Amino acid sequence: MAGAAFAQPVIPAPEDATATPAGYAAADPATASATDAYTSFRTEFDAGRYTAAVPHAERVLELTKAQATTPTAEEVQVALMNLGMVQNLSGDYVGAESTYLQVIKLIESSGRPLQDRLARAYGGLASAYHDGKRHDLAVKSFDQAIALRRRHEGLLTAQQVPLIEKYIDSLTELGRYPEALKAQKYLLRIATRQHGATSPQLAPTLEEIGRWYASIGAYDQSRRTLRQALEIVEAAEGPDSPLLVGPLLAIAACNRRQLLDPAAQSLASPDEQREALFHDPGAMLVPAQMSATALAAEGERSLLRAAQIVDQAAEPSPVAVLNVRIQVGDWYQVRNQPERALGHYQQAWQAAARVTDKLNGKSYTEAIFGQPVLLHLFRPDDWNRYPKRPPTEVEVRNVVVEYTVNAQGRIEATAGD
Amino acid sequence: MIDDSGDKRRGEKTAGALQSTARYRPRLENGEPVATPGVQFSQPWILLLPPPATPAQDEKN
Repeated sequence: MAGAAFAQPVIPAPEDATATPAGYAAADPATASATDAYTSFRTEFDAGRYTAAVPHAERVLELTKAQATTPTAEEVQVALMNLGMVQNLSGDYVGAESTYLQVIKLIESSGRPLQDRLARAYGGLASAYHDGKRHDLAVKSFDQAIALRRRHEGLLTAQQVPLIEKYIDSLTELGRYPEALKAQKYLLRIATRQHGATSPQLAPTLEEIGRWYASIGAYDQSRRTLRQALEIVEAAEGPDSPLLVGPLLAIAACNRRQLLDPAAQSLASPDEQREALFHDPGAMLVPAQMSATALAAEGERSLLRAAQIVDQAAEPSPVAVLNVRIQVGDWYQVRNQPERALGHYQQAWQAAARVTDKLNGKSYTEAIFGQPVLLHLFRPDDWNRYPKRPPTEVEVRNVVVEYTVNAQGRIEATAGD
Repeated sequence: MIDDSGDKRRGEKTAGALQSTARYRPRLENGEPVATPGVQFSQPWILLLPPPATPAQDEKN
């Protein structure tokens, strides 16, 4: 769900094996039969234990290769695809890269390559590069995966969306914003084709684009896109639609980011003034197009409206209440108004206490409120004076400070002061 | 200060930035905000390495 702070990642599904028995007994990866090894792999995968699934996937591959009639047999391709996927999900990006390169070679050298599988193999390789933060290589593989998908499935299909979202992320990491924007617009075309040009279901896609604009400092474009989302939803569903919550929270996040962004400060101001602002979080930086007062007012209004919409629901979801109240509290906290933040944090805490699920193995109250969370910091302005130097010419040294965070969220004293 | 990374000035600048600009969401216990001692923060500083020593040229007789 767009706008949710606790979204779950999308996990791909394994490729089907030739046979899967109904029973399950833990198998020793070193000695298990192909069927037992696949069952163990599938069980670990379904339980989200990806690291544990890897040796079983390796065993399946080993036995499948031994039984295959040809080295390029389809069963070998399937076993490699499954191994590459769990290697990637378990964080072994180098292993996943090697596996996907093997399967791409096999598919391409087989008599009649399956274009769909080749697209998925390039997509897997691209994801391994992306997740391993090798974005330049990721973009090249995404290009191939997307081209193959379009050739196989046609243009504007929803199946391409997860791939394109990662592609946009890699392009953004590389600073290739025009190409990333083009891909964002392609996602919007997919959503428009799926739902219609005036459908409120376009709101999540517009929200994603708006949040992306804000992430690269294009605040005006962000707000324009998010307001378009609001207009579409309001026209279709009225002023209290839950679909308004995401874009409203995104407008507040955009404005908060702009208010705290030193780069949004007019460069016409004297250095002394900028220096003073930089070290005073109470003084919000003034953008050129919209006053700080107007940004703050719009941000606060958007948050409070989102909270009201969530509260108005017949049975407000505790997670939705938690998500919105946390963001309202954080807004006031960063604006140095802890007394206004407190009531929202307490509502968020009460909502968290009603959630019976666990978050990272902890209760929601413990996971979210069990320790202080750093919301904002202007780092020392000269901590990184050599951003363009290669890693071989610089070294990293860490200053470590210990202190007490008081009940208002401020630092009381640094130890040793 | 746990570690000033070998430079008192870097330590002071980090502590100063934290003291004047850091904003935390406080810890809540039973729904009430409480102080939390022993919070640690690590600030990386990127420093230029000295250039590698150039091998001395052979003396010519």
